[in-house]
Amino acid sequence: MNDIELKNIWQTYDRKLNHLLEVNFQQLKTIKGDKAESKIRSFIHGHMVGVVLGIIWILFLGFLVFHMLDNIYFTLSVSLIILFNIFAVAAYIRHVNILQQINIGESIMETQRKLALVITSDKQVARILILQTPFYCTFYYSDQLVHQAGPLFWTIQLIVVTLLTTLAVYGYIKLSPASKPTASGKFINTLFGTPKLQKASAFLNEIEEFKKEI
Amino acid sequence: VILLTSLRIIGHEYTILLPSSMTVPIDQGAFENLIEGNKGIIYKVANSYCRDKEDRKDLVQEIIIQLWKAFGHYNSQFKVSTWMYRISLNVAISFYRKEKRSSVAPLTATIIAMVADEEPGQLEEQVQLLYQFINELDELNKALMLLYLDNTSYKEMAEVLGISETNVATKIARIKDKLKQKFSLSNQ
Repeated sequence: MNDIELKNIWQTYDRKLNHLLEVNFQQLKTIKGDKAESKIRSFIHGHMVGVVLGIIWILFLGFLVFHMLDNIYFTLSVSLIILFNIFAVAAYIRHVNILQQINIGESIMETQRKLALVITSDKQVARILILQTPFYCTFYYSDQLVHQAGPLFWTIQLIVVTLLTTLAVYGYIKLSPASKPTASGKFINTLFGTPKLQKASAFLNEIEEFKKEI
Repeated sequence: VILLTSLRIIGHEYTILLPSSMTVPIDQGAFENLIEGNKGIIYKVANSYCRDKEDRKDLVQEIIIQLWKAFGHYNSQFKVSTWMYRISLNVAISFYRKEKRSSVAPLTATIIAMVADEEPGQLEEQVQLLYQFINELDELNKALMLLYLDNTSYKEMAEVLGISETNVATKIARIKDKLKQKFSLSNQ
C-alpha cells in the first residue's frame, strides 16, 4: 500500500467521523462557564501558592534569627534553611514566569521545551531543598547544651543527624536525571518523583534531537 | 491600540479591553461552530495520544478548555485547522507526560463521542492498523504523522512543530518507510 492510498483511507475515515461524531453542547457550555481550570493554569496557581508560603516561611524564620542572634547554632542553622528557601522561592518565581509565557498556540517544540524545562527545574528545586533536612535537628543547640549535655544525648543526636544527612544525600542522588531506576527502589523512586524527572529530562533531549536535521 | 470586546458569560455581560492585534471578538456561537466543524481533529488527536477511555475524556476536555481560552487570540492568518492542531497536539503531548489522571471538572459524559458503533469493515480495520502504527511512534513523530495523514503541507507542519521544512521532509520520509514495512508485513 502506498502513501496516497493510506492518505485516502484517512480521508475517508475523516469524512465518516464527521457524520458519526456528536458534540455534547451541554458539556461544552459547562467548560465555557469557566468552571474548569486548565492544567497549565492550575500548575501556575500551585507554584504561586508555593511562592507565597515560601515568603511567609522565610519572613518568619528571618524574624526568629533577628531575635536570637546571640545563639550561634540557631543563627547558623536557620540562616542556612533560609538560604535554601530563598533559592526555592526564586526558582518558583522563575517557573511562574516561564509558565505565564507559554502560549499553547505556539509551536509544539517551543511549548513543550518550556514545560519540560519547568518540570525538570521543579524536581531540581526539590532535590536541593532535601539537603536542608539535617539543619532542622541542629537549630536548638546552645552553648549551655554543648557544655552540659551527656554522652547519651550526643549519641542520639549523632545517630539522628547522620540518618537525616544520609537520607538527604540519598534523596539528592535519587532525584538526579542520571539516576537509574531499580526494581527494589521503585517505591523510593516514585516517592522522590524520579520517573517524572527522568521523563521530562529525556523529553528535553528528545526535543533537541528532533530539531536536528539528520 | 485597544479594542473593546463584549463577552457574555452565564448571563452576565462583561466588557474587556484587549489589544486589537490579538483580538477576535469572542463569539460563543462561533466557538461552538468551530468545535462542531473540526471535531474530527480533536477526536483523532485524543485517540492517538490516549488509549484509556477515561483519559481520553479528560484529554478532550482539556483540549477544548485550551481552545476556548485561546479562541480570543486566534490569528486569522493561520488556517483554523493548523491552529487547532497546534493547540490540540500541544495539550495532548503535555497531557501524555502526566502520570496521574486528574479530572479538572466533574464531567459525566465525553464532549465529543461516537453516536453509533458500526460493525468493523475493511476501512475500520485499516484505520485501526494506522492507529496502531501511530501509537508506536514517539510523541513528536506521532504529531508529524497525524499532520501528514491529514494532507497538511510541509510548510504548515514546520510551523506547527517549530522545525524547518527540510527537517519535516526528512522525518516524513523515514516515517513513510516504516509505514510501508508495517503494511507490507500485515498484508503477508
